[in-house]
Amino acid sequence: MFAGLQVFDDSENILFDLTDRVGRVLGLVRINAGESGAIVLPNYDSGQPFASFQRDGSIISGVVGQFVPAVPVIYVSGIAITWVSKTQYTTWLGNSIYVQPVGGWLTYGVY
Amino acid sequence: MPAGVQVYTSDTNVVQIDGTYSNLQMTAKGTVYSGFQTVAANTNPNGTYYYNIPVAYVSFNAVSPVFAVSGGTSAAVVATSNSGNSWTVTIWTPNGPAGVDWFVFDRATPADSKSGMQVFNDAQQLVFDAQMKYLKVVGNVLDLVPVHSNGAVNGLTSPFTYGYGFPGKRIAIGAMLTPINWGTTKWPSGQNTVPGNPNCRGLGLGCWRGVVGAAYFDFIHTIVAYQGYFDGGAVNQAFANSAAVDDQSFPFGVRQFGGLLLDVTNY
Repeated sequence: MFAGLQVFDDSENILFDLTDRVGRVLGLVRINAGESGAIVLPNYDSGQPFASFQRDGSIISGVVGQFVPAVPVIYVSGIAITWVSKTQYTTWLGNSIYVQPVGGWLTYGVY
Repeated sequence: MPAGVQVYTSDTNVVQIDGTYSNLQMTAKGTVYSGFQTVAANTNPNGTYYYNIPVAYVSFNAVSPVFAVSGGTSAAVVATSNSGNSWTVTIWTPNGPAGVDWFVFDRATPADSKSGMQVFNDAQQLVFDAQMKYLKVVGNVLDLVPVHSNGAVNGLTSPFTYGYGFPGKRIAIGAMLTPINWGTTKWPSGQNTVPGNPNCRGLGLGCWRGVVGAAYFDFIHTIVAYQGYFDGGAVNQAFANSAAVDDQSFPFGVRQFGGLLLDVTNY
């Protein structure tokens, strides 16, 4: 470390160093099944934006016949975080496929 | 900023600490061991079916948690549920029963420690205490599992591993997004399975490992036994636990994976 602050635990392990980046979690967004949306980061202070999604559900999704569970697609571009859910059905190899959207929590911030 | 301090990294001039927000901090950790269990999978209009797979459950109390895992075992957080502040996550270790280290980060009032540095906001609330163990994000992955060369016909993407290096840091993976790719083996169309003679199915599962120096995303092939009603074999390939991403081979394909890569050194 060149200058600044270091914090040690009782065993002299470094817990925090100013060369660390503390992820600044700016928010958690509830995304209900099927929703799409976007956030432009507030309090944006030149860090790198991040986003990740934890899906809902007490069961493990699998493919059942023509039903395909799917969580939103997450995009991070510049200071914008976008999520897109699919709700429509489509066809594949002559079969009708129904996408079952799954909701969850999006954690976002900068680091 | 009305009160407190602002702290910047020495190299990048990025704000690390100030008095205007309260960061997530580690509120719980532990090690859990997976074992083969019968787990409810999807319910379709004709009923529910089940897998017999190595899983572990972790329960904890939190308001808005980021759940993370670490260790040399490939693991996928495949389900999360909550009732109020009581949360349970399901961890699948497809290579067999194993131990997985876990961490919970949540919004919490920092403990009032007796040494170090503290930052208060203008409401005189403690928002940073240097003795606390904060969510330290060192990377963010959002990527796509490659499409199998056989395209939309039977077949799984081959197993692969992507590595993300962080020298000297112990890495945990939070808020993970883990695709499941079903393939190769047809379901018996429209029939129930026979108790004692379980049907099996091949799948690919996206998993994460976090060790000292790196995080790894592993796409693993495994075989699962299933029980219960299944209504046909029309669709036998999709990334079912991940996001719906269009591409030519999978018109409904869902193959995004991701996670927050966290520094948990000495946590």
